[in-house]
Amino acid sequence: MSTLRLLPALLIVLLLSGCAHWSTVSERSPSFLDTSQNFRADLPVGWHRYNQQRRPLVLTRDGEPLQRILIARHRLRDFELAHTQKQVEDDMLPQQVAEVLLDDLRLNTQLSDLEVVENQPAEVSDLPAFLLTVSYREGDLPRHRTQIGLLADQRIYLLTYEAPSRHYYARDRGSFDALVESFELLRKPRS
Amino acid sequence: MKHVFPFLLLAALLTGCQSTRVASLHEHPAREDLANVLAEDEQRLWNRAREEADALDASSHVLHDSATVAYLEGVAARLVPAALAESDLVIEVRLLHSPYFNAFAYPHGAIYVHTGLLVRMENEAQLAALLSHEMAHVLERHTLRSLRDVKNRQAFLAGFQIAAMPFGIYGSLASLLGQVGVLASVRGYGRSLEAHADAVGYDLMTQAGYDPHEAVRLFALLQRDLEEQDLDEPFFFGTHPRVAERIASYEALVAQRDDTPVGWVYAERFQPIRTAYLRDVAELDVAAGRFASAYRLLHELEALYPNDADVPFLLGRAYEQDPEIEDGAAQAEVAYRRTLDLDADHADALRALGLLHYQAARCDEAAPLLERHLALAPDAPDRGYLEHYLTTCHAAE
Repeated sequence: MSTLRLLPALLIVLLLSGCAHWSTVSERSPSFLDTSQNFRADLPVGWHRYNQQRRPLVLTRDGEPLQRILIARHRLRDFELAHTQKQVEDDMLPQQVAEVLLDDLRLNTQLSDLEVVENQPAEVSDLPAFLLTVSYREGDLPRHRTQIGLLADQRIYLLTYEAPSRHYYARDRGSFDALVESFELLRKPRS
Repeated sequence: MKHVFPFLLLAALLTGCQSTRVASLHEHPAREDLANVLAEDEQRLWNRAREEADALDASSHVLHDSATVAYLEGVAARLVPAALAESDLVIEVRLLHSPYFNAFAYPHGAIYVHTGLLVRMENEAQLAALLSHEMAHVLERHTLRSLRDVKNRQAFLAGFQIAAMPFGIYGSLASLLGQVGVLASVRGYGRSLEAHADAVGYDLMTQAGYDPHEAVRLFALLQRDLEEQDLDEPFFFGTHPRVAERIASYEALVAQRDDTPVGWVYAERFQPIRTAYLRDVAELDVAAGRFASAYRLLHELEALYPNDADVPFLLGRAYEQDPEIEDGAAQAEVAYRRTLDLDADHADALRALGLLHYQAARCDEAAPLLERHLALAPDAPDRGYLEHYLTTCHAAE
């Protein structure tokens, strides 16, 4: 069989596999519900959501290197950080959780010139949370990263937004803030 | 994918059938232009290594402490063989801000020493042992030999596969050190080339007049720390079997050469170099959750500088976060009080003690401490949290 006759079939397979990985968040159905992960949120319209059974939930508008939002949930007992051996404990204040995550970032040799831009209390789904924004250089590229985290029922929920400092971070921060505003735990912690 | 592409390029570079017989750089006549000595593939390797080293030097992880670097390079200069002293091979030494036990060399002569390893040494002879081992890799062209050795190729590629991992500590290392750097610092060069580096390094340090017994002592110290502190490190010198091999290798060299001189140790002039970084490494150890290592360094600092308020403060931070300590909060409180005895305006201790009280629902004790902290550090990056706690405390009055 000639390569030419195979080409349309190959194209269709490639196109289908492309469709399977990413879908665009439409104006008609921006709401996202994940009962297994115990949360719902309104996703930014026009952004692309990674469709596979991959955790965390990944969203981007123009491609992951340009901006991405991650929503992740981890059991505290399984939550291991890459650069510090410290653990997040369920009785920690949000500020203390932020400090552990900040230590992990400081020890990450991939990130250079790390600076804390904001580290303040927040509230997500009526629960106390931390809001931590850092700037850093990855290779030659200055980037910003904002992370919001909360503890509930022996789990940590992390909403993270990363983008190059120039142009993209400021442009799309509003989309992240709106998502955080809409984020809700389906079952609230017992006490 | 960006990690895989350079790997593929290097694999392509490896496919050339070059001779595996590689002469030492110091076998070449003095003053010969190294560009004429280097083979084509080696020249490419050096160019790549230079690019990786330049990227590393531009990162905030390389310390630009000119006095310490001048000292380290002075020791390295004494180790360079006379035949190469006037060649255009430049041995440079850099200091990496990192708590790990590690040092490595790029093939073009840039040697990197982690502060975590520097503070574990006792004297200049031990530093000379480390630098001469790394310099031996450069002089004996071990990266090139690994590239060309068909037998090593599989293992060598496995080293690059580590570098291709995108996440976690290895991914982070690959990004910072580059792939040649990961080979040198994580995997090493295989047992026979490492033993070769020990033997060449032994000769370099003895020719420079240093006591080679200190090489055995250096690696014995590392082994003791790795065992006592139950450390788990990704690097060559932080790995039990590799450190045990170095001890056996240097012991054999000392025994074989029964005319081994005693040589210089130079402990006194080395001490200020290491003590300057003790606190910095202890702080990194606390951040990394390597508490046993942090305690060892902090207790040493306590003995050296009994009136330094930062030392009990860092001990308090460690006690507070160390899950192995049962009454960590109580011990941390004692350490923070000791800090404030030494320096009543220690802003970080006021904050830490205030937070301990706040967590224990003792607002009456927490509030004045947090208020004093904010008065002393009005631009505290976590001001928002502290104001929130104060509001909560005042509302409960």
